[in-house]
Amino acid sequence: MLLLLAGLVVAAIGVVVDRWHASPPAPRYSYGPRNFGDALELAQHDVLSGMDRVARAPGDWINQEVYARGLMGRARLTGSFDDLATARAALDRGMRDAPRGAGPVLLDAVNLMSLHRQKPVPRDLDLFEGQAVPPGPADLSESIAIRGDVAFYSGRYAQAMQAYRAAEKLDAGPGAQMRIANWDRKMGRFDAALARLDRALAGPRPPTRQFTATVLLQKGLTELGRGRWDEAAALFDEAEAIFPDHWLTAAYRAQMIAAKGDLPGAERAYAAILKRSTPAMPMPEVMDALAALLRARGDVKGSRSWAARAGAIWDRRMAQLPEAAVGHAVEHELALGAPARALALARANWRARPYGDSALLLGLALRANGDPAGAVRLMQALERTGWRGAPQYVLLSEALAMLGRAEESEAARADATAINPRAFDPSASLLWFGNH
Amino acid sequence: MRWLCLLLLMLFGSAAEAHLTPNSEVRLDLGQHEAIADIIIPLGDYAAATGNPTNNSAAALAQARRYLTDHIAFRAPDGRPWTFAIDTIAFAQIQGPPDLHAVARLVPPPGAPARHLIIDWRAIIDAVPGHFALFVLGSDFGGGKLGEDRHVLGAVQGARHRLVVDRGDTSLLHGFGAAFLLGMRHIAEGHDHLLFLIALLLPAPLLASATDGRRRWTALRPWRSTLWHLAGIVSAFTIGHSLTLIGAASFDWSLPARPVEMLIALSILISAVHVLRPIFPGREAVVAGGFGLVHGLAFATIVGHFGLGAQEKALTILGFNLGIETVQLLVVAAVLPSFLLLAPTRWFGAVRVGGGVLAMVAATAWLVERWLGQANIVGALLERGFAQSLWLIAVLTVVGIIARRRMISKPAA
Repeated sequence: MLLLLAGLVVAAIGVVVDRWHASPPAPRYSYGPRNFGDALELAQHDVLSGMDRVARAPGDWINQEVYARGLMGRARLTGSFDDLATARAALDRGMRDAPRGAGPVLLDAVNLMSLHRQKPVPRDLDLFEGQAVPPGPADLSESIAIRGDVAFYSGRYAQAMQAYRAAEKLDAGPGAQMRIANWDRKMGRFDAALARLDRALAGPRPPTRQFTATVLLQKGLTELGRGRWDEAAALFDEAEAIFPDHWLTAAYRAQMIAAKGDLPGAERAYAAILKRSTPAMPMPEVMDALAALLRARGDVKGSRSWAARAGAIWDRRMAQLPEAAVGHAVEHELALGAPARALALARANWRARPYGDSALLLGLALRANGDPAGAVRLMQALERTGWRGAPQYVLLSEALAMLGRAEESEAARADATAINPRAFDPSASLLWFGNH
Repeated sequence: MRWLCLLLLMLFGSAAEAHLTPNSEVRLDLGQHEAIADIIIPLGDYAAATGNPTNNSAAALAQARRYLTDHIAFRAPDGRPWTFAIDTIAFAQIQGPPDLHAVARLVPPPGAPARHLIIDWRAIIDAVPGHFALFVLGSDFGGGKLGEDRHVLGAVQGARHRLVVDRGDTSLLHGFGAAFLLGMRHIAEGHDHLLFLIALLLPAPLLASATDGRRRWTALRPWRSTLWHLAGIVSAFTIGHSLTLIGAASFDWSLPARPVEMLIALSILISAVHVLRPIFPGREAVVAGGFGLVHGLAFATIVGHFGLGAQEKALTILGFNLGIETVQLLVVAAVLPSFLLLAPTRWFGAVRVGGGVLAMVAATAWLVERWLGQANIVGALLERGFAQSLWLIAVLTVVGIIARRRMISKPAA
């Protein structure tokens, strides 16, 4: 009787706690594309419509803006640098042809940010905010938020947050929430980041499937940042269920298969994704991930083959849009190529965007090139900015060990595992997407 | 323009990310006269560096063995080489991607210290740019480190292929002291062991009798008899867990951890029921000794792999066990006054039942937790509460003193 009572007490508490943590009901999606195929079709339509408008009146800057917007929308889905470059050209033309004080300035700023060319962005935003017809609160909020982005990717994090908060005051929409979430994640404030991402979905308008999936992927990345792999995998699965067939979601899920130890399963998953690869949607990131996986399995020939294919795409992209491609090229060279080349690229990447992720890539390149002291200096400087991610402490710990500073190495190791208990898990090397 | 922001963020979503690259790792366990090196080399980097096959065929393993002996050397400070003999070698997927895993026995040349060596490591790092080998210290008995965690010694990469390890003077006392402290810490933090013991001690001042065909705790055991009874329970538990601890740690007996942990939870549950209703009155010492055997198996999993050589192993087990006994005696000394003071008062019934229910809930929570392999909120809350149990003991002692003073000042009519 007493045993039964004790069992009931434990079970009852368990039920109460489960209910407490139960997920809110799933939203209903009444508009927007249902899956990746629909979204791509829609994006193709926008591009064709823009092309048509440009063909009819190429000197009208609004047509160039519409065309550029369509291209950027498609690039968002395919990762195509060709579309980004064509959009850049269309915006250049639109900016040139627009009368003084007008033009596609806000889209131009967005495009420049996505190409990692942030220097000219404030000029665009000044123009936008100084237009004869003042922008509405939502557009002004966006403009201020982009100023925050410029500050963030320049390593001025406090200033970035100030701008994000100012933008949020004008319009507390998903754009501000997701930026603040990103800021929180990079500063190691994972719970705050997750709460912000939930707020991004809880706006007055119901979210689309595509946006919901994006937020779920961001939540998954946040969970990865603190080593909660099961939670991350569940979020990636949920993103797939809500907005199916996106190759990037599939890649995230494939890496989680690898992290669980099923390397052949992950190889099959990556190979299935790459079957969908086309010149317009080349997926070099997935090729790199597969190359790294094959290498880990000892298939040196297969690894080199995929690394060479990815390398050729990164080379082409470097020639096309160097600032946007350089970070990925560093990753490629560090993991699968030549450390010396990685270092040169990492320095260029750092010059273009001197913020935490670039610092980390440069630090890794310094360590790989036999300069652990340089890596230590860089990571210690990064720590002073408030940036808090396990990989920076992993690198610091390793570089300090190389310098024979064992006690400090241990302290950095403890810092890394405090943020992410799986920071030194050997399987973490199989996480190709979002492990930062 | 809100969509613009989303577009921007989605594009940034594919920003460049830093990846961890696999590295080699060598764990060194230092003994008085030898060392063990546990070597892990990522299989992929081994394949890239050597072009050798990576299956477990005799030929592939022979090639791997040859590669390691050609690329790794350990030397004494005077330059004489250590003996480097690979005991086991295999390609295996233990955790994460597959590795080349080797365990080597290292013996210094005659007269050379076993805790001062120079490592000359060229495996993989001479062929794969950017690859590094991290060296960590597992156990160092003479240095007072048992190996419950690891310490970084240093790392080698590229042209930096030498690492000097100098662990200074050695003393067996350091290892013994570390084992003693580990035993103390383990029992102090292992609330389940102590809860089992306390649950057995709780009804010790009472005698059971049967009324209406049901056994109940009814009468008070004489003071002197109570002390003997308590000593018997504690001694039986000590003998029980010492037997299996010594046996399992010395002879590498091993049982899967989960059934052992579940049996421990069950032992608490049975003791908790006994607190509420006497189910084995007068045979508490036998039960303590019997379940003590199970608790000893759990202790052995902590120290079983510490120490290289019979002398170090024996000192580890002895130190660990003494540490356990010390804390156990301290706990008994702490709870005993409150039990003896409260036993004749009307408060003791409430304390006994409250303690029994608490132990029962804790045992059930741990049983569920260990069965499912997943922590539950009840177990977590109780663990947090048990960490504050010294306060509870203090309160019980004060209540005991007050209650006894009242009894003395108001004798029964």
